[in-house]
Amino acid sequence: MDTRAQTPQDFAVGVSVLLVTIIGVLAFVQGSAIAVYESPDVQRSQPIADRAATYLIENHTVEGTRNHLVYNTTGGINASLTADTAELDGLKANAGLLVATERRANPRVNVTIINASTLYDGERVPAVDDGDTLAWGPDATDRQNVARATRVVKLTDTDQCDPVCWLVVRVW
Amino acid sequence: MRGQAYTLEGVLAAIVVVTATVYGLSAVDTGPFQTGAEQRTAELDARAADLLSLAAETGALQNATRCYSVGAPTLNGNQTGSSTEFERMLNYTFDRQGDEYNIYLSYWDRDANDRTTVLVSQAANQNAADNPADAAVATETVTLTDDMPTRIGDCSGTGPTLSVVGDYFAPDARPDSIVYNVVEVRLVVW
Repeated sequence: MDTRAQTPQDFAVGVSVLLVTIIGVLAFVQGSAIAVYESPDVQRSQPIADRAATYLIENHTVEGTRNHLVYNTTGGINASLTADTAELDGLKANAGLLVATERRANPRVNVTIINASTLYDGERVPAVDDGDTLAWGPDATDRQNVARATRVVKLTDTDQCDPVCWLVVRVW
Repeated sequence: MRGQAYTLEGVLAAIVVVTATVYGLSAVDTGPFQTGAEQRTAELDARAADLLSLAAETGALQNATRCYSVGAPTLNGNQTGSSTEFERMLNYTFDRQGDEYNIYLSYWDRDANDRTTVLVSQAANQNAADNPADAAVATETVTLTDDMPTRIGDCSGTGPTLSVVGDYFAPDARPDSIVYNVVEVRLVVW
């Protein structure tokens, strides 16, 4: 009987255990301990948020103006987003948000309008007009890695936006 | 036999190292590192451009331009002294959110035969903070004509026309034409 300890069989078993451990650690720890800087999710969602915000502004502005949104009349932002589904599927389809290069993204989108007095207080709660809360889509509260696009707008037919309102699109 | 075992051991060890490296690289993001500051600058960029668009749209920007130097010594959102619509927009969009900015007006100076830029958000240049390298910049152009009235008395009243008033900051770029001057408003936010 040979007295050598490290036989090829021992070695193969040891290597397998080590390999499984390394793979296991990398697979499970990823996303918590390694992700010390901003999540790539935000970088992936940022263009989606920008595109959604641009789509909303371009399709709801008063003809011939910039950043002046039609609010409560036909074709207004309130009417079209309220008529949309809870997940804003219509917005996602029309603005082309469901297209991604590497993998098919399925973003969740929240659109919020913040009025002037809330901005004055430095807060971010949605505006309330005639009992309607001006926030559409799933709630983004307590979500991690949310990409956000902020646009400065005015709404027609309401005194909430003196001097400005914000249109905030959050994507995660 | 022993030589073969050493070779096999070497090959297996190399496989382990290479596998771990490849797997590790695919598990973490090795792309260029985007800091929170760049994200913030991109957001400020959108807000600055939107604010100037909206101010130009509503005429608030032109009003403020006609008021600077005759009706108000500075244009900023501090809400002291004058508070034009443009300054209120600045206050709500940047001051109240804790962002800093400088505003410059650039006009054609006929005597110097060149464009001249003045800082209008502070009373004196020494008071102005330096813009950091990653500040967001937005510009908008305002065309002034000879017969436009200036704004006086904290920008609330209508004064004499631009071609008549003496102490307006910009000179008449072309005295023989209806155009008084073309002013570029530059907003630098950080």
